[in-house]
Amino acid sequence: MKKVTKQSEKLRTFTNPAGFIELHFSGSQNEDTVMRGIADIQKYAQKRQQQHKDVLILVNLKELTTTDLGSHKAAVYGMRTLRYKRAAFYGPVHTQVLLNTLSIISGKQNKLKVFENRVEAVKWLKRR
Amino acid sequence: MQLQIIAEIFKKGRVKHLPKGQVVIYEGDPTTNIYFIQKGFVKVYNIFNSGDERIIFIYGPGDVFPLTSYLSGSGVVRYFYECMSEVELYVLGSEELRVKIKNNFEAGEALVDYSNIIQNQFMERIDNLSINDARRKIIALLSFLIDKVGKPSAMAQLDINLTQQDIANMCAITRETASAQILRLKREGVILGSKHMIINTIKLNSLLSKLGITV
Repeated sequence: MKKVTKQSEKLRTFTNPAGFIELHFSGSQNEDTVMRGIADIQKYAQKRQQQHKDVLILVNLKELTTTDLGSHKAAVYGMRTLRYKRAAFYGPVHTQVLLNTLSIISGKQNKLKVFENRVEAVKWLKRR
Repeated sequence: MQLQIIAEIFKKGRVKHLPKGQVVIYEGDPTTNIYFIQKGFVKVYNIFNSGDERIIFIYGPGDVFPLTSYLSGSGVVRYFYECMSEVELYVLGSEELRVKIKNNFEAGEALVDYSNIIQNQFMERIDNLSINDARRKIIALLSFLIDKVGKPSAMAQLDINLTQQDIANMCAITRETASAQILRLKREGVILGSKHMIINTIKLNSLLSKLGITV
């Protein structure tokens, strides 16, 4: 039986059948967990790029609880350095405020958007 | 420290003086400008289909609005914002503020932390509006008013003149009910003064504790 580690409880990354790279963050996050998420996206993104497909990222923050300055700086690092076409985040208001502010800090607001729910996030990601 | 950082960001903005009663932002307006209150008080309210006004919050000196609407990226203001007194504001356009936050972690973190504090206070106010007891609502409101529009002390005077209709609108009760409850609290020595309310915080805290009201 596969052992579920603490890290995998906090973060899951997979490719959605619609072609998005999807990340789910749960619980409290720090610099390490966010950097792990960035490394995961990098791996999946490389495969998409080799197939000449757009890199679209969907991030679920509905179960995010606490974060710290280290995790915020790591998130901004990821926003700036990863190669992607668009990234959509969704979650409650306080995470919308946090992620949108981090996207402003990163200077990548044109490629990132924050939503209240998954339906709106997916709709924006899929637009041509 | 946070508040200092926020004040520094906004004090480079344009100054605007508005009279009492001026609506600063209408519900549904885009978040074109963000405002820092230097002096005065601004009420936040919505209007029901019946035309009744429901005051949800009051912003005072040092407060910024409509920050959550701006920072969340929604781009649309959810409430009406109206001056309760003469108000002096510093104004930054949404693009100007974006430029100040870009590459500036200190500014971004300060604004997010402040937004979280205000959101929690908003939630508390909305919870208090759903209490099914006029007396408990008013007592909870008095505690909020001391923090936002008063000077905390044993006999806390509010810096703003509130009518019974204002109190009623802040508690989702009729003016008549608000009037009766205020009279009762005056008889109990919790509320003194007429034009600018003075609140006996020792008696108020005792009531808060006795009634199990957390604020």
